[in-house]
Amino acid sequence: MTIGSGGSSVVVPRNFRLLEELERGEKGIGDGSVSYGMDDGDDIYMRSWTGTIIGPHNSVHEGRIYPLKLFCDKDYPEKPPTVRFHTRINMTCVNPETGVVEPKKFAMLANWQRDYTMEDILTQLRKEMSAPHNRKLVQPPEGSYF
Amino acid sequence: MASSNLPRRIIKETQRLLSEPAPGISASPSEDNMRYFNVMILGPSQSPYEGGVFKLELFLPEEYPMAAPKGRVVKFFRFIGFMLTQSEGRSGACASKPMAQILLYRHNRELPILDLTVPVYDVEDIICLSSPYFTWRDIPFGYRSLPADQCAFAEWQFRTSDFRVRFLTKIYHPNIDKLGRICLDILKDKWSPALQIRTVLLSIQALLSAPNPDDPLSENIAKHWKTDEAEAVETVTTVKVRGQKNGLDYMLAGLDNNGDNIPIFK
Repeated sequence: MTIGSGGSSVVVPRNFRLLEELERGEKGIGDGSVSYGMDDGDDIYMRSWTGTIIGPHNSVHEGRIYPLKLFCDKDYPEKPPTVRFHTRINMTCVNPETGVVEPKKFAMLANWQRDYTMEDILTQLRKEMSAPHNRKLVQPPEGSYF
Repeated sequence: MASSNLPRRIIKETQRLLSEPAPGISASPSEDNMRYFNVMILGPSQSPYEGGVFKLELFLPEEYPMAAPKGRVVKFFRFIGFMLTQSEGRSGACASKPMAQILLYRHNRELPILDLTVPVYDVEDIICLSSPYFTWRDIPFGYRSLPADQCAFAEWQFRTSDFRVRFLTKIYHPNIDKLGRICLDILKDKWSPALQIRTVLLSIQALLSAPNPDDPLSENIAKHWKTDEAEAVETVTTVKVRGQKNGLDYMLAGLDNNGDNIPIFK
């Protein structure tokens, strides 16, 4: 069961798509290495989200927990959300000043498709952490924030 | 979106909704998505919601009007046992999630030794377990142990309605949550293909006339309702009036940003 794969011509509107993602996030995903939830339970438009990535094994990120912000604007999921790391991280696709995941350097955002989800973004970012070009990068001290 | 792809039933329902709207209800499809409806419901007279105009959104899933088959999974495992004795979960539509049937067989037996119905979320948890050693660990309630080490396999299949409808207007109601999601049995396990957009909306209108605090979605509001109904009804009015004071059409009220740049999202 994939969220957003509505099939041929049926387009799930933004709000109902986000409700699906919310309900999936509340239930908990797989082994818990990525998770997400809504920031403001009162925001009927479900714009602001917090995701969490647990650093993958066999990388400098092991044992670290990375919170990040995802912002789903009104044109989500036609357009990707903006994604920003909360804690400092040294990664090729992350702006070292702001923590923003730069779409140009992160293929999933650059080649965004409507059926991608926030879960997909988090999972892909976690994979990216253990990619050869990121796995061994020296990291800022734990607990420092952008 | 071209309506040519649209099932005839949806086209007919839409035409009728537009030409013979039910009293106090309007529903019209969005221009670019004929399965996505903008809905307005007037607060029923002689209810706390009288005088309010409530905006909702509604989406007809691909399978409409059928309930979508949600999956069928067969797994073999060494049965280490636990069996549903009694559901201790809350009953009723709000509490009940979409339900799934689980059949559990001993190896090579034709009759299931276990035939149980559990919420879909729990079934997904089971499906997530990739281990062949099945522990039932994630099933939250009401299981008891059976003799260990018996070979078995389980089969899951379930259907639920994907019919989606929610309030966009903030509303103080025991069966509606902060995000406007509605607890109504016909939207979940009591779905029937004989139901229509019109009947669903009439049921929602009726829910405004007769809140059901015994089967709550918003526990706090339900508690309020049960302990002091008069005061709860008063709160309904306050929420309603606060919305109007913000200088907004009530249908957009309730957002806490005082109405600045309230986006209307598709």
